Amino acid sequence: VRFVKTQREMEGRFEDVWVLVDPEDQLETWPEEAELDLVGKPATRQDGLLRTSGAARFTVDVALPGMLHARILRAPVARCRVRSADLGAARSTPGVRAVLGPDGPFTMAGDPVLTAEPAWAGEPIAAVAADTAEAAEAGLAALAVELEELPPLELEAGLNEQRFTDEPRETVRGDPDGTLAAADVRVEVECETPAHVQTPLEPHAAVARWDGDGLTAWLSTQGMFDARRELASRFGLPLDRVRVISEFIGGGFGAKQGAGVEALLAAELARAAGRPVRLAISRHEDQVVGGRRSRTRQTVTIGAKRDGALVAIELAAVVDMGVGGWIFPVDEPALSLYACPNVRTMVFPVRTSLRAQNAFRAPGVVEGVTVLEQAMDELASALGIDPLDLRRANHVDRDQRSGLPYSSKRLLACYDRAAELAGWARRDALREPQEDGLLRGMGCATQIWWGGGGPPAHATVRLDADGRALVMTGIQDIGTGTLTSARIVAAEELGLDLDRVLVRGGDTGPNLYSPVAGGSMTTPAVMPAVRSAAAKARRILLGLAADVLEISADDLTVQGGRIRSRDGALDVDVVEVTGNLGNATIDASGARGPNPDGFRVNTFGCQIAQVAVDPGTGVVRVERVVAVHDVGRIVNPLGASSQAEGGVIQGIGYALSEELVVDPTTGMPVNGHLDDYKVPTIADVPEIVVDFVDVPDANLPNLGAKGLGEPPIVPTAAAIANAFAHATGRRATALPLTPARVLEALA
Amino acid sequence: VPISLQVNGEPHLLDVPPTRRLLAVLREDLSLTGAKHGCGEGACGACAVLLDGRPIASCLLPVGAAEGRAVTTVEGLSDVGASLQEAFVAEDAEADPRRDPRDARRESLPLRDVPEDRAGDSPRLGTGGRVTSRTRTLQPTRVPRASLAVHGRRAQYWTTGPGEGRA
Repeated sequence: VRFVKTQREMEGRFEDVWVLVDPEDQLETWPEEAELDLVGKPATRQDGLLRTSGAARFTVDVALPGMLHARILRAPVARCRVRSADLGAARSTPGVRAVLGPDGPFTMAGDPVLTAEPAWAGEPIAAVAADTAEAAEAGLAALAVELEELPPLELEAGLNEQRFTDEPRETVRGDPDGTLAAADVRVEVECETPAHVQTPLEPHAAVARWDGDGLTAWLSTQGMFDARRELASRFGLPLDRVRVISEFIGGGFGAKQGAGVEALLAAELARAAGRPVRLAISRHEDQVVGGRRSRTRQTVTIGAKRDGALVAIELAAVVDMGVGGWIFPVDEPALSLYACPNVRTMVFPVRTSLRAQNAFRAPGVVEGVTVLEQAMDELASALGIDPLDLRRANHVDRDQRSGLPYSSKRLLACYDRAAELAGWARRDALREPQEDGLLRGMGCATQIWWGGGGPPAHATVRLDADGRALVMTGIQDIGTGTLTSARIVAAEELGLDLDRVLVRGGDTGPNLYSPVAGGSMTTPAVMPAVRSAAAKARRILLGLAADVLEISADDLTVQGGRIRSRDGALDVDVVEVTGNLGNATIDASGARGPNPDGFRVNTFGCQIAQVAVDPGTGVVRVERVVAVHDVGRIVNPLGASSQAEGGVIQGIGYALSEELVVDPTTGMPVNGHLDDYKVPTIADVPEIVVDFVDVPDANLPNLGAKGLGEPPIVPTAAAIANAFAHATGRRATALPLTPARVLEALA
Repeated sequence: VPISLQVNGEPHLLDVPPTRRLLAVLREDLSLTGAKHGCGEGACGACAVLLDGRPIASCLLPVGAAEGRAVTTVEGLSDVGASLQEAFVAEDAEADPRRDPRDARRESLPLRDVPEDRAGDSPRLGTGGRVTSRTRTLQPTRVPRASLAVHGRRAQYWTTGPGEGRA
């Protein structure tokens, strides 16, 4: 066992980490031709019946004896100053047990959690905990806050005034100016992409309870270990005195990182009141303050030779950052998606009066692909080349930023398969006049994303006398089915049936570390640790079997819950062996090793959308989406196809209907409800055809599997926009393609 | 006056205000948390329950309006709808109303038909016109732009005036 310094990637950001490497954990991947019993076969969710019966307890369902209910007072306009707040009146409101005001000392990492000078729409000013939610609201009203309103910061003015949250980012490769000017063909596309709200169906929520000097927090979070660290830091506790439980999480899509304001406030209110506190924010609050993929305005210029070979790309992207946050890799697609020697990208992070932008499923890359891929179609059109052929012609097999080869890339196979499934060869026939008067078209787009995972991640496996295995991981399953994937991998390696394996996660108390459920990370990071732990447990089991059955362990196999000798003479249920354990337990742990040096690990794919446009009403309907992705080995095809469908549907919302609109006079979002912020409903969902290349990445150890959380949303909106242009011959200058924009584009 | 209600076949007498929402009664007073508070305005379907066998949004219904009637929550389907629930698991379309609002619709199918009023659901613009207006700042002219370090030049690049866009 030794410590190794390695590079860890998270959503395109690389950092050096030290990881513990146990040589015994380092397994070769199952070869492509290996016959596996469970991996690669569809499996239903381990917790499916808990979910369908209503028994699954989400954070908002946690009810503790004596629990108080908390509410937050938020800035009603984006920028303002609190002139006065009557904390005394709030404290004496019947039922109110704790009040935190804007001038208090409650800070996190030096920043106030509550503020008397809100700088963004909905920033928390005060918080109240009371016996009932109604009493908490009465307490907020009793504060009788007086405000001085200030004008919000707006994107246009911010651009003019160079009001950036950070230095603008420029990346140059080769000689973009000279080559663009001299290119045979140039196309330019301008497009605005909307502010896109994650909209998890469970809004942010936290329940906090103090037990003596320790804190237990039930959190709707994607990163319970991050939350543990933040809470320990804020309240001056050792890590082992903070326990975070996140067993069932109603979606996150990037919006639920770490502890969040909700957990900090719930814990502080609980400490002040001496009672457990639940803080579950409302749908409206969540739509306004939960986060978003920011609005962008992008201009992409592409220069190419007559044969379609790209010579130069230029991207200028203005991003409505809100008050700050990480600048997403909007520029990544221009730099990486296609072979191109000369590139200039510029990202301008403008400060406005919304909350800091936060991650949303493939942050940045969705925005970048959405515009770049429209420019590629314009180029195909200008050159008279088939759009898929243009993409094939500019295929690249290495990462042009680092110069490193991709660990594996089967994008060309994705193009071929998607074209076949979509009927691409007959796409122009769609444009012939239709009986229903609708304009039909088909468009494609390419997906790129990271998703290689990496260390650290740990898992333990224990086998008890009854021949059943318990897998313990730090996974927080935000609805993607990762616990079930762990079950499949563990059962495969242990040689047990699925129903003899139970996976537990969602609790930092008993479990070892797993990373945040983000960055398409959980499958590639955690499943290798699970397999390594299971492999150790299997070796111990077979050693025990060898002693019990008086045969060499090398002559034994375990499969389907049976231990057999290679000569076929012995064939017993594992319980025949484990039954000898009594109260003893076989236990083993596994740790995720580093990814190999010398490669970039990415995921790829292609989606093809068919749309029908009503030229009278401007309504666009997506009729069919074909999604083919290369994410290495598929662990659970059933879960994987659900994940892909969810990404496509979210991408349809981004393309057609979802847009957070801000009132310029107040800086407040005006459509923070589900009846006016339009996520697709079931009636909007088209036929979605999902397929995977499903070939293990031979350069990725252990499983050869990459992540699938983010890839499926990446190309959807671009494919739809391209299908719209194919159908109508027009291109809208802004998404989503609402009827008003469509009618404007068709006029 | 207590409100009488039958929930999942069991009679209840509830001493709550008649204006209290049925969802709050189910979740907070009866600890039946299978129905969720997704939006609180009847738009998402996460709170769907059956009232006398017909799907309704329990976040909108005052409990007084359910007086004397039969309510079935997802917990109550365990008796009558086990095969239905298993079918959802088999298709990986489980009642995971929280995974994705898109799935909430799917999830609520057994409780409410695909709503006709949503079948023609078209994206609504709202006040989006402001944001949709063509962005004059996004019409960069081809002025020299050697270095991003020069803020003035960057401004020049990005802020050509109205009507100065390229053809």
